[in-house]
Order: sequence, then C-alpha cells, then structure tokens
Amino acid sequence: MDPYLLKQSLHKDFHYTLSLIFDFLKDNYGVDEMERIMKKVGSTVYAPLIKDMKENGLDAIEKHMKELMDLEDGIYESEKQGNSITFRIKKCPAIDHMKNKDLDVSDDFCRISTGLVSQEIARGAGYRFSVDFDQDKGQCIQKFWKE
Amino acid sequence: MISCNEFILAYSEIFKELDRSHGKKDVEKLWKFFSDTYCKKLESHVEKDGLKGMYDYWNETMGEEGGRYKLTLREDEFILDMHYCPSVGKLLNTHVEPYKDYCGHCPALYNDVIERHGFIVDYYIINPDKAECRIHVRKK
Repeated sequence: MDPYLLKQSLHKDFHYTLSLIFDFLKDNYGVDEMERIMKKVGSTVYAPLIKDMKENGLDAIEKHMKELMDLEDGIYESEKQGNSITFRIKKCPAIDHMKNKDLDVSDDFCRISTGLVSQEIARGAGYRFSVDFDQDKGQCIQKFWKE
Repeated sequence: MISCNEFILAYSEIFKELDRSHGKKDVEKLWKFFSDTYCKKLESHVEKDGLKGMYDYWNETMGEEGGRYKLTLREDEFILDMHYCPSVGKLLNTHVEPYKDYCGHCPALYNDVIERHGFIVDYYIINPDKAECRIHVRKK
C-alpha cells in the first residue's frame, strides 16, 4: 500500500460509502456499467500494486495483504505454494465494521470490492485470481496464481 | 478489499469515470444520493442539537479522518477551518490525479442537509491544491 496511506488514521465508515456507491451504480446504470466503471477504477487505484506484482511476483500481493489487514485489524492466514498464494480471510474489516454499526451492506459488496477489483489487479499483473466468499460472515478465500 | 484509506482514491476515480462517461450532472446525482443517504447521521445531529450537533459530528469524523483543522462553536455560528483536508491530502500525496471538482462534493453533500434545518451555510473552497477550505454556518 502507498506509504502515505499507511500512515493515515482510519475512518471506517468509508466502507459504507463504497457500499452505497455500488448500489447507486447498479440502480442507475445496470450491472455491466457498474462492473466496467469499477474495473477501470481498480486498475487505476491499484496501478502501483500491479507494477509491484509484475516486478516482484506474489511477494507483492502478500505484502499488500499484510499491510491492509494490519492497518484495519483484520484476521487472515496466508499460504504460499509454488506459483500460487492463498489468503483465508477470517475477519474482513469492512464487513465487520458495517455489521457492528448495523449498516446495510450492498449485495454486491464482496463481489465487486474483492472479486472484481482483485481480478483486475491479477489480470494486469499476469496472474489468475479466484475468490470464494461468504459475505454475511465476512469471510473469504482468495487465491492468486500463475499458470 | 478496498481499504478505507484507499477508498478516497477510488472515490475520486469514480467521479472521473462518471463525468467522462455520463457527464458532470451524473457526478452531482451521486453527490445528491450521498447527501440523502450517507449524511443521515449528520442530519440527525443537526436536527437534535443544531450548531452543537454539527460540532459533535465533525469532531468525531475529523477525529477519525485526521488532517489539520479547527472547529469553532459559538452561540450563533459553527466554523470548520480545514487547514489540511485529509481526503484531499490522500489525493495530493499518491499517484492518482484528483477529479477536477473533487472539493465540490463537500458542499453538495452537506449544505442542503444543514440548510433545511434553519441555517445558512457558506462553503469556501480556499485552495484545493493546498487542501484548504472553510465551512461557516450561521443561524437564519
């Protein structure tokens, strides 16, 4: 993660703002346009991570995940095997925050913010990505690999 | 997952993409949507406690977001002097180019919410390149 962002304090309600955005985009423009916009956003926001993955492989996404989870107090395990890395997210900070504050979570939240955006990161860096999530529990299994 | 500290970058990029594909009016439509949804918490503070409610809301929010700011509460006015906006700061210090009217989202979100409870809001975007602005709220 950008070193400047790592040093900033946290306003976790921004997870809820992102959730609202997904609903706004889907309700006003449909699923395809929501996905197009978020792919474009993902590839721009995560351009430094994509570059890092191209140069340093799976170590880059491993470092990113550790920084993100440490910053937001998430709980996860990671396992690297050859050309793949698997993250088992036990407590997603975003879902945990919204549920604790009794905020409505978009049905598309995990599918877009983790699934689609990480797919875009992987694609840009020359990797494959899959995710199996349980949004209600705030848990998922993410895998990045190279064939 | 997009972390809450990376969110601002995505937020600004969404404004850009909406503007490019659908026009500025759709960016403003998104801001109006936030004003009607995300700002319910601010509205309940204003409804309950007026100027003190605004102070309490921004005291909590800015306490979480960081940045450099000064809150002033007087009997007939509330002032938020933003010396360095934490949100704009995230855009100025990372690789993304801020949306051209990024700062426009704040008055679009907050002014109506406050004004419909009997207040006048003057929102001064002093210098977006230095992340400086001022919200001045007075009783009508």
